[in-house]
Amino acid sequence: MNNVHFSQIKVSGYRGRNFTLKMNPRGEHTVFIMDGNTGKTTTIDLLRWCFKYPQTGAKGWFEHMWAKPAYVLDHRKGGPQTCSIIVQFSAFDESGQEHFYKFSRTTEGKFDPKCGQVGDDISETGINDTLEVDYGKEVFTGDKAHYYLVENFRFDQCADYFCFDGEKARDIMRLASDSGKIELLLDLVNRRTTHPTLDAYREKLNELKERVLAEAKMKISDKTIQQSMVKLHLKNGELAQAKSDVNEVKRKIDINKLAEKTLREQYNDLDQHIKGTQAQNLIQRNKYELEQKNSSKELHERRLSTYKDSAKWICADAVAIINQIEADVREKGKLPEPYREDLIQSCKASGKCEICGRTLDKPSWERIEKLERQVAPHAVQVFLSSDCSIQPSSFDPKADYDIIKGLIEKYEDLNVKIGSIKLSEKDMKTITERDALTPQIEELMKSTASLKADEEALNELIRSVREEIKDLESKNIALAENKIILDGIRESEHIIDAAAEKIKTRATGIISQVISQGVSSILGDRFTARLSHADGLMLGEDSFYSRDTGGNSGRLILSYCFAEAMTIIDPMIVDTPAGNIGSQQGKLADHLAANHGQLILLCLPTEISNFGSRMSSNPIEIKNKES
Amino acid sequence: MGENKEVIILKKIDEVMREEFQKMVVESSKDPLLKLIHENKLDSMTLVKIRSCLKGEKK
Repeated sequence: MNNVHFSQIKVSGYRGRNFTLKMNPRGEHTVFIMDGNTGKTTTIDLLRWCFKYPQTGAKGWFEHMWAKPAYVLDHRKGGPQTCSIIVQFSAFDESGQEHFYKFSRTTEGKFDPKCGQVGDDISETGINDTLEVDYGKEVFTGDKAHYYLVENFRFDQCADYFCFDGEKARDIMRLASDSGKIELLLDLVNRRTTHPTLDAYREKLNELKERVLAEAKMKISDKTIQQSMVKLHLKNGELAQAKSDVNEVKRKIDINKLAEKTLREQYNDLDQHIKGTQAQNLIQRNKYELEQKNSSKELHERRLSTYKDSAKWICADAVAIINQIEADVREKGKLPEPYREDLIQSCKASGKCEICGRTLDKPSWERIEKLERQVAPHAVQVFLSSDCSIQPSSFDPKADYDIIKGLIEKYEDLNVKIGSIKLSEKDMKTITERDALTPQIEELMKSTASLKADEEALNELIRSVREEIKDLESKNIALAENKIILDGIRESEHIIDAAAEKIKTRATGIISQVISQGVSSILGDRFTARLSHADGLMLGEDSFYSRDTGGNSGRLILSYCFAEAMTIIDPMIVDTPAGNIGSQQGKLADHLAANHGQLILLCLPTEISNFGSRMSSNPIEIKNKES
Repeated sequence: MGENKEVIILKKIDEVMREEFQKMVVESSKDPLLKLIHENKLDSMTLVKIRSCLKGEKK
């Protein structure tokens, strides 16, 4: 099938989008004006989801921009809901006859925020695919609908590229810029490798074989030989089927491997992000722990010095009192307590001198009563300032207490800070996302191993059927004269198989050359592109290649050319096509228009004047209808 | 559409792939049957002719 033309895409309910995109007739491009948040990206993502995943493998695989997986139901709706997308297109068969196709995918379910990662509650039988061919002449349902499209259009292999958007362009730029991901990029290139003449050569060899068998049949009358011919015919059919099966299995293995690699890349990206966050946390924790260690050391030293000064600490209060007494004695002549109070009061109470025991006479009474006002004699003053002098102390227990208390508080505060260092909710979600990839990777590995076992079994079957055919041919006397032709066919088939493998190694060079020509035709002769095993995809200016040549707009154009090289069908459906291409908008528009029989552009209103208007004179405005 | 100097990437890749494949199959292998297919002669030849052609190649 070739010359695909999309005629209509109708979205009902998915992510709250409701509109119909009716394309212009064959031979014309179509430009839709869709303002922000009307469903441009959803349309692209729904198409990829439908074309890449069969009915039974679609649940949980819808992706939307950077959300993987993303919700596909209408999350504003309560209760059960049914969403659908209908894609209508036509294509021509080998004989030039146009056939019409209507693919639809309906999804029944309800939104439940607690359900799974994204809140889509869809049962195992909730997704249903149908493909009608030629208005119902043939109808395929379930996975058969998908496999019909795979077999006849290979939509699954190129949906990421003929349904194109800025996010995919950035993906390509990332793949191209990251030397660790070049292999992934080249895997894509190998998947694109097609052998347009390979089937034609095989067909011719088969026809020749049929002619040899038909001629032999006509000549024979012997029943045993006739039976042998029938058996040979059946075996040839068996061989053809086994070859086709083994190719299909190989294709599935390639897809599985690529999916596994992609998941591993996603896993590594998430893991890297988590490790980065953990490292940041560790750095912060180390910083706090170091501060804590310093506080602890300072606290220890402070306590040690406090203990070393313990004598000062113990007599600190006494020193203050003594100093006070000294001052009092010196300045006012007062005697320090308890001397004044105890002794004087005791003398006054008893009427006797408590020192010598004499009864107090009048002059003694007067003297005792005057003692309070007595100024210390010179000898006492000398004694107080020399023998009884106390050196002034810098020891300040209150200040020490405040410092130690401050250090302890700081230590405890750091403890709280260390305790509060943990992964954020977002990071925890990233960990969940990363961990959810592991079973998916394991599942793919299991599936690949099983497919490889199938491949081995089919190769074994092919070997044994070939032997049987050879044996039948050699024993069949009716084929004896054409044995040379049959041997020649076998030899030719081997050469074709070997060439098919060999061409894969040349694919990179071929695609590189064509992408380069495409880039030059848009950006001018100074610009070229190079795709290689060593450096991946690079843009060159005046033959100087690097990963940042040409700026963002140049690299975006490189991504477009790569996508065009990767797609197998002609139409291209692009979301926000001009994006931030800048002044190259016009050239890109001309390039796309020339490169495709059908372009379906989902443009922002701002993309019409310089871009969309070059594709179509009648842009169609689309508004999302509330359901 | 398609009448300017733009490089039609999709067609170009298929074209170059086809050329490469034919070069590889026919020129490098010298296989007589593939050569006949490439020269578009196989369909018009009788089995007798094909046989003699193959025998001739073998000699």
